[in-house]
Amino acid sequence: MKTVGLLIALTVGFSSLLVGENEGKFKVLMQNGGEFQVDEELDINGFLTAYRSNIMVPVCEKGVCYNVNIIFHWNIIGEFEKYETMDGFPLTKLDHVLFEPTDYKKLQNILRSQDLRFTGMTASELVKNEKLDGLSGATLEAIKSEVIEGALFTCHTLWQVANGAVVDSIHASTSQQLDNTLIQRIAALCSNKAYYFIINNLSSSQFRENLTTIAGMIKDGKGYFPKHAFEKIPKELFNDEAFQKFIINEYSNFSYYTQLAVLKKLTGAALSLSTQNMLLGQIDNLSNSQNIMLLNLLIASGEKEILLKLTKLVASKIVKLSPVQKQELSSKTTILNP
Amino acid sequence: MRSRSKILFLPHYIIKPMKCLLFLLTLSCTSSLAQKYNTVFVEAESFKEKGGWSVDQQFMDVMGSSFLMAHGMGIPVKDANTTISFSQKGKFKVYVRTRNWNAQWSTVEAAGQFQLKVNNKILPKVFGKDNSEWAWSYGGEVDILEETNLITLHDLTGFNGRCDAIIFTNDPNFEPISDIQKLGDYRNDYFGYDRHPKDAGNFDFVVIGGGMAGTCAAISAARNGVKVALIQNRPVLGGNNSSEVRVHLGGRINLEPYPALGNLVNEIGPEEGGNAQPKAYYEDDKKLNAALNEPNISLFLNYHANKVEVENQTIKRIYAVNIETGEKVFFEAPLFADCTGDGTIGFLAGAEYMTGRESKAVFGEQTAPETADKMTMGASVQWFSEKSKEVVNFSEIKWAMPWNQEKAEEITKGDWEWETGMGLDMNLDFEQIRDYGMLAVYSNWTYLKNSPNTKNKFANESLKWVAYVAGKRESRRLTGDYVLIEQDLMENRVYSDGTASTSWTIDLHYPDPKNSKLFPGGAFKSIAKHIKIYPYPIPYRCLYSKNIKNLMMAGRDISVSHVALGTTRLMRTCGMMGEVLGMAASICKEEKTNPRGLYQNHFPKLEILMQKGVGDASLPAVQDYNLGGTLMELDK
Repeated sequence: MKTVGLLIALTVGFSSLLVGENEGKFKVLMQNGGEFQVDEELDINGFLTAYRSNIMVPVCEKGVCYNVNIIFHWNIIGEFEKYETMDGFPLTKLDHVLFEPTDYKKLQNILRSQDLRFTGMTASELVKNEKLDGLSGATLEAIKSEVIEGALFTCHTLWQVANGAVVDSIHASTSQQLDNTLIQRIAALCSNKAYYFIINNLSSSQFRENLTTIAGMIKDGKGYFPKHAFEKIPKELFNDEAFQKFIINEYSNFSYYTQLAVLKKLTGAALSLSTQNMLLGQIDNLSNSQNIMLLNLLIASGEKEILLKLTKLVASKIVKLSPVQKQELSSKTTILNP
Repeated sequence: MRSRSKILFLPHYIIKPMKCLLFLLTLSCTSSLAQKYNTVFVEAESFKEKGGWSVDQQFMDVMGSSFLMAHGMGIPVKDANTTISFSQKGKFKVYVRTRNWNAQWSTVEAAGQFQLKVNNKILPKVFGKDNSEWAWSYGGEVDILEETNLITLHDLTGFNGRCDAIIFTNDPNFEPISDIQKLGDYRNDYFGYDRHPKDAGNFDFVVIGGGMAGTCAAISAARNGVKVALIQNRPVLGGNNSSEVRVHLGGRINLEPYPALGNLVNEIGPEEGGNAQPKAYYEDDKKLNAALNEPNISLFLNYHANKVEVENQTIKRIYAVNIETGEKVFFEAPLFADCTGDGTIGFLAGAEYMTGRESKAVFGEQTAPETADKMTMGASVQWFSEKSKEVVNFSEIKWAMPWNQEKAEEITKGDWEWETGMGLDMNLDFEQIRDYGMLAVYSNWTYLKNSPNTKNKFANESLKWVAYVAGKRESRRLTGDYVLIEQDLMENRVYSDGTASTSWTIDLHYPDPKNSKLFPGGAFKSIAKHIKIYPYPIPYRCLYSKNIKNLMMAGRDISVSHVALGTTRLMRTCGMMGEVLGMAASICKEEKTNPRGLYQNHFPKLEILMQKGVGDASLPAVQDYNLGGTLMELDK
């Protein structure tokens, strides 16, 4: 019953009492109707460096209420970084037991974590899992280790504040101010999340102006980021000789699916001879889409030297062509060597 | 309007007279001695009315047959009845093939006890008490006064008494056969099936196993113009996701590099998640109807494939037996898919396979043990109770394991972590594994319901469901042209023959240390250790056998190391593998090639089909449960 009481207090509290300390840059509206204000933090040159918010959460138990007064900090892409408590407002657990130093540390880890199961549950689901008086159901048992004992709802609520609607609000705020300085600053965060923020928010001209930075992100990016980046980069930039040099140097390091994305974008581009030679060198005897794309690309855009090399590879049976490709290559070489 | 596919199984009321006919035929053709005496062999699973008894086929490859089991969770189940014709009258000796399943853990009392009635007259003998292994129990003599006689199995305990077969004989020299192989021969001779297996029909592709992998493989192939036979050894489709096992789907669908893969999983999978939930959660009918709605699918429910004929490393024919009627059929096709989970077809065909844990030296995997062993992940026997308005009693069972407050699990649902059998053989020892899982559930429950420490808390709780089909995680892994390993996943070594993406963590299970301490050598709970990955496209070369030319696989028996199985075994991923297999089958048919030939010469065609997908793409993605965490979350 104690936990239920706390939950209700927090839920009601948000709609009426959760407020920022100052007039901030923008307001964040929570799903439950509560709101708080977020301030920008600027460096001495007036450039955006981070976001912060002073948040007060009323916590009630058995009719006695007190405020949790806490400052949250986020980076420029909305990742929660840290919290600070205010003098005279220590954090407490269910029975007004003060947080231990380990609890403060654990809360910091919880608020920064993106893969805790309990954060995906609604507050009422946390309570529902209590199957019998005093007994925990399996799900609750499963999340027990994730939270601070006696502060389940505090953890849940503060995580939602730190990682909920505020993230989109910060994204919107940062993307509105996105200039080359800010792009460099975000890229310097060196995370896939930062990289995705950049490729999802740049204009065509910003892609052009920051192509070297983006190339660095492609080299450093994990998972499918390199593929997604190539898919986002405007097609006309693939004519850029320096960018083609980057592709030449890195092509063999790309995953198969990134390579396919590159080939799609190179189709129709003005390929340098070096690029054509690199692509020719990528053809192997495997039966897959990449070989088909490489051959189509080279037959369509290859210079005479490349087409002759390709003809030799076909003649020596190192490369197999489809009947259509054979016909196209033959007509191209005939035109080049009348 | 699509015509519906055929559901092919002969009901027992057709088979039963056929058995009698065959038997009489056998009698008339045999020696004068055979005519002098009358021996009647009755398969319990062929009983006309099964009452509350369940058909259990899970161990038939080991103990020789499917059988009837009284799975009443402590409440005796309704009688099973059948009528049997005798050619002679007089005194007959009775033998029942059964076992005392809990004898290996308790000598105090047999859990599953039952009696036999002949024409409503109960035999004094109580069965299920005598032998710890499957064997014939002598049941005394009965007077057979009529040609047609009613035989009844009468459960006494509700705790999984089991009956494989009954023999009535007036032959004074008759001795029931103990040897499983010889008994199998006797059954075959008796019913005549081995000599007369039926041709199941003409197919392009035979899929064995109707779990998520097999069901998706069959539907995918059918929609791509392939004539398919889908064989499933249970009465429902879905496997571990069926209402018989009740494990919810896990992992993600619609991932790079082929986002259309998974549309079929989305189409046929349950909308609600949760392990060990009420039956309706698992939407058995949705999966069944999806298969039935495909005109290119012939569905063989209740058929267990258990024999394979191979020539020149090519499967020519597989045989399957009906788990209720004993009817045997055979299937011929140019291409087969082993979606059995256990790699049964590959094993029978002589395919190379792996079991247990590979040592570090084998694949250089960081998570692998220094020394190879036979440890596999276990099988789950899940359960749950519900609160009743009234107090519900549960008998204090004498045969339960010794229990106390420290051992007590004060919960109302046993989820995935009620997992047993690690270190045992998931095929040869599986009856023991399943039974131990049930024993643990019952032992805990009788304590909760009867101990002064807990009985008030649990007074109104009623044990609603305990699985008797255990959910396996791991058994044999068939070796393909490539074996997926930990480094591929961790270093994101993507190959050009990528197919369905596996997204779940490398999720390996180990015995729960606390539970292992309380139950030395007999842990029934597990823990999971997770390593996150980026979604990874499983190479096509993991989906066909290295040495059996026309065998593909999807599900947990694909070509992966033990460590890599930790991620690929999730059912949404298995379903997507099935989608790929169906597409591959259509290309094999079109190009008149085998799975390796497809890889070598026609892979771009498969890439195109994978881009297109096979499921209904217009359906909303409603399965938002149990998706699992990946390294992608850090990206968004």
